[in-house]
Amino acid sequence: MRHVMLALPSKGAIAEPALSFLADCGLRVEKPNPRQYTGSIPALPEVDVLFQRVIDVAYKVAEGTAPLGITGLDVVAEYGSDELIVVHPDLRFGQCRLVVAVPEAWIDVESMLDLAEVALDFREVHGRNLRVATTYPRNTRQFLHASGIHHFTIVQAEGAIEAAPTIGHADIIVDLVQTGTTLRENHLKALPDGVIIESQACLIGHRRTMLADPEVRETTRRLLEHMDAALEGKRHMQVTANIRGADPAAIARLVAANPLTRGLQGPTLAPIYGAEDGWYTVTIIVPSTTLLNAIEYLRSIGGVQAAATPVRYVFLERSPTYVALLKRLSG
Amino acid sequence: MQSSISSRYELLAAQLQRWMGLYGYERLETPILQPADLFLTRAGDQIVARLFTFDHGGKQFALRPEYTSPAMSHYIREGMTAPVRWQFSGSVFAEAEDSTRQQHYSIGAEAIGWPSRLADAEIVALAVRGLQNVSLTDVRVHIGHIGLLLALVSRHLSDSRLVRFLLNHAYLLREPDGDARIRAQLDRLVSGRWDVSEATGESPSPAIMDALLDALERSQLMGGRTREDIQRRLQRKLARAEARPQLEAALALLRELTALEGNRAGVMPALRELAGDDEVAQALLAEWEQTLNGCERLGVATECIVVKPALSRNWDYYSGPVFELHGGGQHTGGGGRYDDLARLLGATKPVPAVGFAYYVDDMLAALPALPTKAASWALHANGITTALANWLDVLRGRGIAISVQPGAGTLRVSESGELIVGDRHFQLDDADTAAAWLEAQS
Repeated sequence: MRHVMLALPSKGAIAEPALSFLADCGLRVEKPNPRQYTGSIPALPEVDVLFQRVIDVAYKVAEGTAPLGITGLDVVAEYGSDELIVVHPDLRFGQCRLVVAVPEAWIDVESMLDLAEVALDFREVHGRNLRVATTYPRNTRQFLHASGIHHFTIVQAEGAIEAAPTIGHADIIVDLVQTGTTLRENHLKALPDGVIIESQACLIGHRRTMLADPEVRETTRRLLEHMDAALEGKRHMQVTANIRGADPAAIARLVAANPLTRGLQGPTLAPIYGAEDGWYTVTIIVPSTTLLNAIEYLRSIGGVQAAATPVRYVFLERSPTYVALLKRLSG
Repeated sequence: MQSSISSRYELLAAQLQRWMGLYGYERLETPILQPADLFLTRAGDQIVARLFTFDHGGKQFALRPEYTSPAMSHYIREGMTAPVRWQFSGSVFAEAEDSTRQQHYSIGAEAIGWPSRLADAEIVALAVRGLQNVSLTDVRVHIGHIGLLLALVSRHLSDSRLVRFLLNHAYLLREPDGDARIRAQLDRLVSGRWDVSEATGESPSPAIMDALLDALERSQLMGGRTREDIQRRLQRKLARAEARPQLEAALALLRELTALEGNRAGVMPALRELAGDDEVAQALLAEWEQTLNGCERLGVATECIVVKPALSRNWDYYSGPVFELHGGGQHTGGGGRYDDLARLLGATKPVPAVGFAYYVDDMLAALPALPTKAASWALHANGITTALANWLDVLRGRGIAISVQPGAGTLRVSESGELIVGDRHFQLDDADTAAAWLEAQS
């Protein structure tokens, strides 16, 4: 059997969440030796897991060493290349934003337009450029120019960006923010229109390998089946309710009449063998967002004793993300 | 396709270079790759956003998007004081969605160090007549005066950044929804959370500001700004929120000036009336009239001149007359006086300067016919014999373009050393006759 390498982040904000996300997908990662950088996924025996820093995940995939990887959309935007494609952009963990943040004391600065004028003041009053600390020079530069700010110097820094203004290395920062607590602790505030990237975790792949290698495509398909099913499962609930009626087909028609309770295909009815005749249990899968509306509709047509349970996986006819990927690769 | 365009470019460039040479403009070569700061300094929004930049060895470089900044930078760096007349032609670069449109040709001239009264009319006349000289039809020059425009608008508005902002967006007033768009931009600039006066109907209380600023004292982190910096800017912001009526007046004036365009005889009296007893404005107006007189004396026909008082170019460094060139249905160039650029580029003294650039790609689009390149003869042979080499040498020596091609063809050298063209035979002794005959054929 050929082995397909999947690069996962070894440390950082999305490292642990990536492992629990995969476990939720039924893809538990086994790491036999905590000091080694490899692992395996028993449910997908052809996959070799390689642990890398979150930026190196993108590099390894961009160069094709690993045809697949999990990293952040922010990393893709900053370090991506033509060969790196985002296979699944919406893994629903590791949410954060790349933002422009300025000292809280700058009470006159509430927007990027204010910042643009302050940058001009720096030039005219202090005779120097506004200094911006960031690990995202490419996106920072683009965003500042697009905001009409042209007089700035990028101070490249590794880690603890938010401390740069305190130390005196920089005037403002561009950094990832999850809750904003770190910014507040460092007396910084994010500018409301200074959001450069809305990021979260994503599955990435090496374009050429995907096109050329059917085995890699097959592994990608199996991975996406698990991921789509788990993500789809999180969005759904299974609802059961008991309804009394003379004709099971009539009950089914009534339930299916409302889009809220139609389920994925239609309701399942099973007779209840109990005290009275004519009782049936209706089972449907409904979106979690409209659960209460569905229950209330069932009540309105005579449903009682409704119960809702989480759904672990919903397998659609085919993984929609895989179908979309094939379309993109051929296009 | 590309090669045919570039050879048309070369022909056009040669004509224009010669034309500018007749006015005493000498070729200036500047590097394609320049420090990015050179172009970022100008704070011209549009070009900076489309600049090609590279990081190398910790420094940022850019492909030149135009010639003016490199020329001025060269003048300053070399410590020059004597006035110069320079011309340039070559490629400039700007990012575009269509990657084949990222490289453009630019041809133009800069007169650096000359006083306005000598150089302005000359540059306009050179540019306009250059277009006519390459047989472009319907040549027009639209002329405005940034100095006068600034003086008039500043009568209503003291905040120089607001004035510049307004001028940079004045072109919107020519578009159908321009008024709404310009207002949307201004709203971003003058309102916001500090628009206290609007919320309370009163002037912002000094006590509130003091309280806010006192809070600053407790903050350790000022990010390179002083308490005074923040206080000054806060006051400017508050003043701006109150400057609505002034802004409206300035906008109304701009609208009036935008509507005012046409020939000199129609526009100038109206402008004189608008300037009223404002001595500065009247002086600038008189100076502008001098320039227009000069243009006409130097051969720009009155009917070619369209006076546009609200004409404002997108780059912040223009200070005097500005102009746009039109011809053959295309916008074929633009320029103006830019006395402020030298200071922005670090000069200790102001350097008067005026210049323009042709938009060569648009000119080529407007010029269907250009003389084709002189043909090159093909001499057919299967090897280099002494006789063949002799013929090549004497013909090239007499200015005939000729190259060797394999196989058979009309032009060849016989074994006895004669040059044969169809049924004509020439001896090497009689190379002059052969050259004259070939010349006459091509």
